[in-house]
Amino acid sequence: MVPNDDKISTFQLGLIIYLTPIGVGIFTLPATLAKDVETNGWIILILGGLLCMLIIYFICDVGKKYSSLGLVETLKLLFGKFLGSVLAFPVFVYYVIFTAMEVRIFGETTKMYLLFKTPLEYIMVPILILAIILARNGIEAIARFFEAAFYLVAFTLLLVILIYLPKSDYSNLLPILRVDPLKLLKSVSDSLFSLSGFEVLFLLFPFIRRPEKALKGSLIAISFIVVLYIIVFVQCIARFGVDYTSTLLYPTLSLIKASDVPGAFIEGIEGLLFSLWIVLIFTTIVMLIFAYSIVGSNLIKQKEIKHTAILFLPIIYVLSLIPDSIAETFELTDKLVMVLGYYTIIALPILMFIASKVKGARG
Amino acid sequence: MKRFIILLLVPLILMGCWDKTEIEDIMFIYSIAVDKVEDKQNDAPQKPFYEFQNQNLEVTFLVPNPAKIQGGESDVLEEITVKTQSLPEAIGMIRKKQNREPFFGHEKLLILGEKLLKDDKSLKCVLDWIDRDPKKNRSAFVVATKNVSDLIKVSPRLEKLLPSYVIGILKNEAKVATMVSVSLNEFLGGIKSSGMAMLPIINRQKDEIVVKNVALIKDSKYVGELDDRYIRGYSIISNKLHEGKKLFMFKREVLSYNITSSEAKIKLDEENGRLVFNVDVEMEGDVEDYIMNEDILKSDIIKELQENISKQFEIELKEVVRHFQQDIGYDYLNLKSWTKKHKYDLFKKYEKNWDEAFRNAKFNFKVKSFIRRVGVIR
Repeated sequence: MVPNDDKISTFQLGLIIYLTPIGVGIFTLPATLAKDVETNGWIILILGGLLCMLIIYFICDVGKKYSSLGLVETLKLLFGKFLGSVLAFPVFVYYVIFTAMEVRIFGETTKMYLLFKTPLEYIMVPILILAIILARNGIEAIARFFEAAFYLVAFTLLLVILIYLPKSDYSNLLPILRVDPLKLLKSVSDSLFSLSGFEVLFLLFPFIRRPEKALKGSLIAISFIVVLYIIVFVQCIARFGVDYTSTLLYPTLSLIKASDVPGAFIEGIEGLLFSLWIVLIFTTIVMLIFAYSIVGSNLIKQKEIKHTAILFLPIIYVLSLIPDSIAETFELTDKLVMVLGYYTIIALPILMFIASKVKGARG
Repeated sequence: MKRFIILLLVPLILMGCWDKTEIEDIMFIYSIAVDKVEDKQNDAPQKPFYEFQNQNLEVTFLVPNPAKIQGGESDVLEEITVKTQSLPEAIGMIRKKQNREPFFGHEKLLILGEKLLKDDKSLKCVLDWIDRDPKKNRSAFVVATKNVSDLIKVSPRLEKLLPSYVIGILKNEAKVATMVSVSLNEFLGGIKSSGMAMLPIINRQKDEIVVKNVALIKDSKYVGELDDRYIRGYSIISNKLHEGKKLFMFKREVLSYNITSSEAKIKLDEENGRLVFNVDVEMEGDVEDYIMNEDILKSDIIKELQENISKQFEIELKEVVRHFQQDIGYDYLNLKSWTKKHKYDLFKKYEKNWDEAFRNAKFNFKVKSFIRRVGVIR
């Protein structure tokens, strides 16, 4: 019997780290990589994954030490009350904007492929409401939902891979390592940010039953995501070639669309896959809402995180409708990544790692 | 309060009805045929309207009529034709004369007229429209034809619908060496990445449709035709051959060799500032006919036959390459992308004037053919 104490097991933690980063990013990722580094995207993905693992190590090292405190409390402990709050505030803003953009891109994509006439707002509002309902129920409910969703997703992904494996031209992946090394290093950030979402790990430490095992669980989860991303990238390149992939907006969706199952007894499986993808997006949105409500309630010293989640719902809705077009949405997302993403994903963990070492040496 | 909240949630559940479409209201477009029929040019820089001018394109949508199919009638394909300047305009015009909503998800065949292929601007317009819309079927086949309006009037003898007849012929590509079939995906990929593509040409012959020759497209424009005889060599060099026959000469008799598999291995060197491609081909197959009453079941005769076939393949491949190098002058053998993949340094060196390098390149062929079976008579 699993105790009802608002704690999650290591397996559940791994699932959260696995399902949170997989969201709208997986659709655009092959195009971004193909544009920047041509066929070497899979190398970049591995490098990005390794970098991500390093950051996870930092996070876990700090998190284990102060496992009963959340992110904000840890920051306050390490940097003092005022400075700690100041450092935590951008993280909150990051999560709020990230949620808004995720919801918007979800709406845009759904409108383009599935619901052509339904207004954008009516696509976004229900998923927001459903996500809020789940996020309000606390980490345990979320973890259990993720468990349920995982098997569905894992099975389908396996099916899709089996469909595509034989009919592609894998020589499209050559040549290897024939681009400017500087360009390669620059695009590592592309692949790191395609994994963004893993940083919720920081907020989860107070909820983990055995914090000392968090590192192992998260590392396994990240490596599984990297494998999935590599498969998607390789399939896109093998099917479309580099030049064509980089002109597509959602290469992954076009790949699904271009499927021709041998024997052709099923056609147009994209509808099926699309509905499963909505589950993946939903898990991302739920976790992001949960993340901002934790940070937000710690910042304003509100005990019930449920209330914070609802409080910022209108802001998220309005924010997600600010970009006028899909082009603007992508630009805004890039800007978010440039400013707040670097801070939350790279700068803050390193800063906290150093501070905790200094503090540990002193104390 | 609780009831009030439930009442508020009801519209959210009902929003699924927003996109409801009844199947009776849909017109399933099976095939699109586009050709250019006029050459009007009328572009004043600023005008209040740009609609209904320069209607150079003739677009035909082939739609199966479900009522007729149910009734068991023979002529079940409806042609809906409009004259228009672009395809988005065509859709608008079709909605003015047909009540059902056009649906492109099951579109299986795209027929492009020769005059359209000769006009790169119009062709790009059409292709961009197809590429941009997520609802289009990307595995549809693409063909070229000389006379669209003539072609779509054919009523096939053994099939009910013209597009499935054409698609069936195109699928025979797996068994015929002198034929290619191109899907929308491959076509768009070729045009967008290198500007080069091939399209099978289909034409009407009385009440049948025949695939003959291949249209060559360069920089989104039709540049010429490739004779059927050169296609087998092309398929062998670019490793696209599935199955097919070759007729060869042996003891002053023309015999048939059925290739069941072929694999080409390319090696590239550079000699005196010129590329040298060494192509090693290995193929397997069966002999389909032989001289009557002469014993074939001897290993030295088989060996002799094999050597003969190999030699004739070497001659054929040399001629194919010569044709591409000298008569056509462009690298349709996909050697540019092969070089990029396998010999990046040489690719970088010759990238700028690849066509020149291709024309000057030297080709050496070495064919090894195997006869595995000879049939049931000796």
